[in-house]
Amino acid sequence: MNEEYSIEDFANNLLDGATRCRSCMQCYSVCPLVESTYGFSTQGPYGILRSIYHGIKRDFDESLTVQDRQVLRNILYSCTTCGACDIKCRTSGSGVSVVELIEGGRKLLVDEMVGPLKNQKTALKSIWNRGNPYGMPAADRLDWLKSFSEKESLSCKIVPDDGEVDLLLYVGCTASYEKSIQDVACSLVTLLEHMKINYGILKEEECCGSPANRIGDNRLFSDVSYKNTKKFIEYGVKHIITISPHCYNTFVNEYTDSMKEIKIQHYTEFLSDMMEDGRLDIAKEIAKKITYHDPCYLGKKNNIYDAPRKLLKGIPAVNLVEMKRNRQDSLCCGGGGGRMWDEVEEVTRLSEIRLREAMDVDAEIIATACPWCHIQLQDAVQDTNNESKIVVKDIAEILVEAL
Amino acid sequence: MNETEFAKVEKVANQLKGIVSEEFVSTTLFERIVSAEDTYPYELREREIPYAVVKPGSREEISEILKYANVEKIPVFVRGSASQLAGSTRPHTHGIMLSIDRLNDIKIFEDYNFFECGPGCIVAKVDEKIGELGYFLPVHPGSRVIARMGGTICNNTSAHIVDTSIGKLGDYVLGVEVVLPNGDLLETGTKSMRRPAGTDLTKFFVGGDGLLGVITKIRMRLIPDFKYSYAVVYFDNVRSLTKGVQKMYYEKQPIPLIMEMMDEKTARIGFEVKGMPPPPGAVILFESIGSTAEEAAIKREKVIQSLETENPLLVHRIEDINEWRAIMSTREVISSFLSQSSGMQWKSAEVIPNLKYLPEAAEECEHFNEGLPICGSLQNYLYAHIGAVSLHPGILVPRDWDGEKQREAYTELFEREAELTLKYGGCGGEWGQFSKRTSFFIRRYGKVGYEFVKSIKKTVDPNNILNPGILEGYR
Repeated sequence: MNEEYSIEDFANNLLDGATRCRSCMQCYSVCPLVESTYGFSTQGPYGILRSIYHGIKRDFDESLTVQDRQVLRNILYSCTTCGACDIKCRTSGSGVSVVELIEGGRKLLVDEMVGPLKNQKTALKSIWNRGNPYGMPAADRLDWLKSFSEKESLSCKIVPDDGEVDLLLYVGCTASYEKSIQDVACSLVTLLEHMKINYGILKEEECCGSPANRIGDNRLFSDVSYKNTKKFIEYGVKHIITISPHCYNTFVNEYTDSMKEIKIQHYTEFLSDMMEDGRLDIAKEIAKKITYHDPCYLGKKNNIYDAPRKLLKGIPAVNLVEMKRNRQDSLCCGGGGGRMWDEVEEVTRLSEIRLREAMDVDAEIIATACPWCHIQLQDAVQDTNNESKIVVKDIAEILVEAL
Repeated sequence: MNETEFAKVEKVANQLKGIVSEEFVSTTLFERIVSAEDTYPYELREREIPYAVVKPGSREEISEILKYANVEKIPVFVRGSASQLAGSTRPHTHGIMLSIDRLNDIKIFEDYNFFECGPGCIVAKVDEKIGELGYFLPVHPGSRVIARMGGTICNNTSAHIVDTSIGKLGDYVLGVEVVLPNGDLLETGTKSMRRPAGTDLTKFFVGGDGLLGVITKIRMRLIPDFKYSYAVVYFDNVRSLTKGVQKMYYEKQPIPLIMEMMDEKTARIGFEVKGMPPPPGAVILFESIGSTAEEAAIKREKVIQSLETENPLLVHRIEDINEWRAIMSTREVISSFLSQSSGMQWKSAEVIPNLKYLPEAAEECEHFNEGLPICGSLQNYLYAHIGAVSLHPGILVPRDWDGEKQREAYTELFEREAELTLKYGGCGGEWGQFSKRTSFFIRRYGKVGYEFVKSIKKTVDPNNILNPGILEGYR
């Protein structure tokens, strides 16, 4: 929060935004919280918005107890920020930016030291100190590349040491550090090598700042986004592809205009273009029934629904089936909104509901294009002992299998 | 909350936790406030905030809660999705907020030709579920994605569906299970195809405004779905449009299932929001039904034949369901869009005139708020479930008015609604009879009518435990 703009101004703006809701409450009908919790009124968009409203008003007259503030914090941080409510509100004609208001409420809580949740604090601290939310050493960030054996000489350049590149692969924290997702990064490298792209990876890549924005740490986000933007410009980066839809969304929608000169794509968009141009030639058949889970930050937030499907359909013999809820109606996996870093009350895990939806259409593979969706769904498969029936794979991994 | 109230919250919560599992009781400040709010924008008064919110999972648990409430004389307010528009879901005093969300099972018995569902079932989900088997749900509120079956049954509303086409929702209810205010359990009605002749206990609860019991199960006849035929007709003005609707009735035409209208000003907004070219005038949208597509199309032509006697500007027959959905969505976005774009709060009234004076009533509704002391200068819009002869003038109320002024504004609008509906001999056909409409009820049916209902309520609920305030007319 900058100095000219006081907390009170910010709170008043949130109040104004919250009052624009006309209380039709139809946002409850699409909210993943409603179906994964006990469904109390505060466990859905309208209730969260009203809680912000009452929280601010009662804070002004100092009638909130410490316990009330903690409850408010838990209410606000339960949201996955999937954006289903925003779409519902927009199509009904109202167009209240519910998620923006919820994230604004979180910023207020962080400023007043009520938020975030305990483990989210640790994640934010780790971004400050190590450039990633996982508490991992910055020096280990490129270790995943070691999985390529020495005889596989990679053309991958390390930016800026190896000079300029046509394309920068922004790996992101999860694909860099999470063992189960490192394969996705490796798959992307394999595909880029296969297509003979002049590409590279940052030598000192750092978090894009998405978790800071979701959790409400404005200062951290400003710091991270400034550093990253400076780095991209300094290194002459012209084209970035991201593995995570969260990084993509942050670069495209949340960084300043100084990034406007850089072409930013989610990797599925880039590969889809390559497939269309004939540079990504897929020869091998994969005779499997595959369903695609739309990540919220790719689909609902950025309208990227077709590119991932096009890639899957481009693989010979793939039988692509849609789950009952797909595209903008797709159910959130539960991993967004800062929920990757702390336990949020769930009666039925969203990822397990989503898994059931995939199994209802007899899919053998759930394909996705987001590291967090991947982790959430993978956990659901394991926890429900369904490993023999269905597997979770990133689209990049499936494409490599089909090369 | 003072210490006494805090102690009360603790005590009530502990008792409730002895009846339902702990996780289904909430006493957090925010839950207590939000669960008691409805579609009206003004805040609750402190004395209206419930002690606790409880989500029972069975009728037995509801029975226990009501028995406890009777012993302690604590009011119990039943909540579905709070989308009722006459204020019935908002409490007027501290109490227990009882949510029926968890009673949401649905079972379809095709061999009996009925289905049973809990009151917590979402209307749109029931519609979808029975729709998969080729059946039709005779209720279609704008709030269907959140509205619950319990609320629609308590109001006996068919909402946007034209009553004279297929009847009201209650005409299809075969029976209900109810917990009476004293905790007694009651099952009404029948499992047969024929509803009771003579005294039918079901009728005390269907359209009972939630006064006499908590409905815990609903049994409804399965209706085979229809085939549909659609049209949109534009008129130069509302008068000729409404005269066309009169002709449809006078010429004994088959009444459409849905027949909506918007005046030109209102329609222009909906069309613009949905990216369509502006309408040439006031609009009628309707869907005719039949057991075959041919029958539906024939019925559509008959309706058009009557409407054409009033020289419409344009008649457009719609053959593509997507085009129909798009054009219907112009009607559905108006209130939301106007609220957001104007920064004000939409409030519609429900004026139900008789058929003979429909054109005059519609003209009055085009100037609905003129001359009103508080709302007189506000913008007025008009749409209607015109086939049901049900008019919805809509007003934009400034949201920066303080809570008390907003309350007065809404009261004024309800009074104006009452004045017009009384003038034309109608009564509320969609949102229930009491709460913000109690004064209308008394004027419409006299003290005798009101005392009649009060005496029934007092007999069944001597402690006035269940939903107090609805009958008394809380605002």
